[in-house]
Amino acid sequence: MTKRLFLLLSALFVLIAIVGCSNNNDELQAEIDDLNTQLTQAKAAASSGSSSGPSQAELDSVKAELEKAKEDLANAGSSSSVAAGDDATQPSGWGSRLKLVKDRGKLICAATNDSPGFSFINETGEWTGYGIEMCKAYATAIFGDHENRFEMQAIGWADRPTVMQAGKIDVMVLANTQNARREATWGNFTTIHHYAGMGIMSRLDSGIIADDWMSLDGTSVCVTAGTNYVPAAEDLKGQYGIDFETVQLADTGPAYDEGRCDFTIGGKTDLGRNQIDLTDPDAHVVWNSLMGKDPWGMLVGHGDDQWYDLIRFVEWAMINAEELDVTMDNVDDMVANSENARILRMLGVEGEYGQEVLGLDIDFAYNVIKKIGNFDELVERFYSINDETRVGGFYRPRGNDALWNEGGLLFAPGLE
Amino acid sequence: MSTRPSLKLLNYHGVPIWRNVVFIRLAMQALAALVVISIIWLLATNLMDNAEKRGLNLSFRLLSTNAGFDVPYSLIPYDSSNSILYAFMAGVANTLRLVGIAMITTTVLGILIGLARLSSNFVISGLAKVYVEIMRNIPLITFAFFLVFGLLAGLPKTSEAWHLPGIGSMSNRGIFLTSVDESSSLTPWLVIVLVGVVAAYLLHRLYLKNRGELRLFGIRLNRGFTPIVLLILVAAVGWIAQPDAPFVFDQPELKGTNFVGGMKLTTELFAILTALTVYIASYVAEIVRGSVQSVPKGQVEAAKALGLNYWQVTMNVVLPQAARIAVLPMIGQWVNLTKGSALAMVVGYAEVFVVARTAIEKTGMAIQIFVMVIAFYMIMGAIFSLLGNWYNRKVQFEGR
Repeated sequence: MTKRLFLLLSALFVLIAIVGCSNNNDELQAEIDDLNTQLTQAKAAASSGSSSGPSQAELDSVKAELEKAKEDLANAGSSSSVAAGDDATQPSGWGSRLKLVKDRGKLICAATNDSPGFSFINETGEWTGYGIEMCKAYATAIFGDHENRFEMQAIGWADRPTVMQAGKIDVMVLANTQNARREATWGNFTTIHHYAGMGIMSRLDSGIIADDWMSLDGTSVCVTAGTNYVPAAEDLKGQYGIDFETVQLADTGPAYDEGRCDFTIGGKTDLGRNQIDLTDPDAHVVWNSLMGKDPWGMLVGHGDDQWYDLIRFVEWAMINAEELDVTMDNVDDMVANSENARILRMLGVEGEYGQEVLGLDIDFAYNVIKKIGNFDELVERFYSINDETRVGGFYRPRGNDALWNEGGLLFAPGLE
Repeated sequence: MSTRPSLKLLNYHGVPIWRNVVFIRLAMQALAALVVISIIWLLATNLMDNAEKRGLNLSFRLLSTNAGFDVPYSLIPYDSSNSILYAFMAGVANTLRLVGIAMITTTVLGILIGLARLSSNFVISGLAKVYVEIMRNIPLITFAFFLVFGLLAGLPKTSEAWHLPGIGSMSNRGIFLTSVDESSSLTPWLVIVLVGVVAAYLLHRLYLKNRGELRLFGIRLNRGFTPIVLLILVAAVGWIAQPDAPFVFDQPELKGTNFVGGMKLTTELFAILTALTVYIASYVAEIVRGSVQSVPKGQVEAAKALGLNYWQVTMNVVLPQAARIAVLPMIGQWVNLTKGSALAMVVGYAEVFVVARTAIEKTGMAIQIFVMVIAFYMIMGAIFSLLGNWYNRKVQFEGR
């Protein structure tokens, strides 16, 4: 008996340890590599005589840091938590993810496979959707191309916090709702790309009146387990002093369709899409009223600022490209003939805005726009009103997702 | 010279220490312990290091914060202002309810099917065999899915629920039964019934005194009936004399789209309960068949020779002996049942794993909460093992 318990206990510890395995030395090595890159850059800048490049003093300081880091690596056996010295310019996690991705030769993205238009597996068994295109865009920015350079991993909605903590994936390209709690405990949300609202779809025969919150009293709701809709349903009860039965399911679709519940909670645009797939779409209504905010962003892990910036750079490039009317088709023309300094800078023809510090190619934006397109082209591919050009997904008006100068909330800092 | 191995560790008749059996045994024990402890230490420190590096907080502090989510159909009183730890306990209680009911249903159904399997009737044993073969070859999760969506599709909406007047109704929201609740007049009524019991007992004593003969107005009163009739009369008077009945029947009523009041068994619990029962019972049936067959034939023949009928032989001779053999494999199936209860997640019954998932979403404490879930299932398994071993020791033949 005791022996068995003992074995179980040790098995438990093995499991715990697997969750958080990585090598300390890798991190220092990554740092040294990073400093080496900076050193090379500094030398190159010095030899080309560019006035805007780093000065000799900077070169020296980088050299000193490199020496210090090497020393630390040698001493790493005795102490694991030593950073690259007190005067290190970057935190200890800086650059480790990019190095990992480059060594692997592949970007690993995680997504659920049940969001039409966003991330799903189509009839031919291929991953498709906005999120998958974004994964391709990140891979293109890092490797110059996405062919065989990215890999999708299917996860469930409730798996997200665990997957983020395990740190085995590089980006989570899911329809993730951003909120403060998740920022603190899950990881960093990158640029918000869809300003959704948390909405309600109800059955017409249930006696629920659309947009009348009080009519939800005494009914049943189906919510996806492990999403923020579970606590949101609870907030709703408190806010209006009503009570209803909550059914938490891994997949709410079939249960709601069969009438287990009277209403369901989700992103408003998704609800409209899901309605089409129900047995009798006309027997349901999507409310105009919203339960709350539901901003969607991609997720990266905590602790590596370089990776976080890199992912956002790709998104900023795509949004800026839409703003500057640079498209997949005219990008070559722009490189050759454009007179607009902002466009030329973005495409890496002239000037630099930090992409090389982040370990990206100077023309990464060109590659991304050439292969994936600008933000608008990408959205149009899955959410266009035009059924002919849409390759999947459904019609979703841009609404709040329009550019900041076109009445929407979509905003990206300039690439300058 | 004695051949008994000496416990002398050093200088044992000139045998060098590395060939001394006592020393080798001790050394191996110590080495094994050292290896295990250092592995655990290594893994634990590695976990701590990596958690620190990733910025993961390994404290359990957040467990005491407000849950803010619902645990539907909780066995213990729960609302969302309770702590996350309490929500976890509500999940545990829901799991225990599921496992508790399923243990009884699987055991009963398993024994019945196991006995049917042994029946000399070709049709009965054939059907039992088909059942066992089919169920043992379907993955439990597939069966659970099939069952829950079959139930949801097959059962009517609440507005068209199947009614059994006065008893309850069945719909795709679950089974709703009339419950019996106490009213304010229950206590006085119970006192009156107690008086009736005492009166009936006194009457019984009176019979004994009068050698079983008692007459009222010249009519001979039946000795067995009269005290019972007296008790019923007293109870009935007590019931009628009071303004309201001692019990109220709480009938579920359709309010909106859901039934309110009465007892309820949700579709989700019903589905996972049925899935587990039907599935695990096929394994239990095989255990029962095997252990019954291993009871020596002479026992049955001897019992039959004494003139006992089939049920007497089965209940008093075969099953008690088969139980000795079946107890350990049965414990194994109950542990399987406990682990299988985690599948309730796919059908939407809020047991401990569902609550854990929600709590992880809410707090980001994946490691801590998974450890808690694992610890819960381990404790359940250990309790089953201890009970099994205790029962096994109790029922084994003496002197074996």
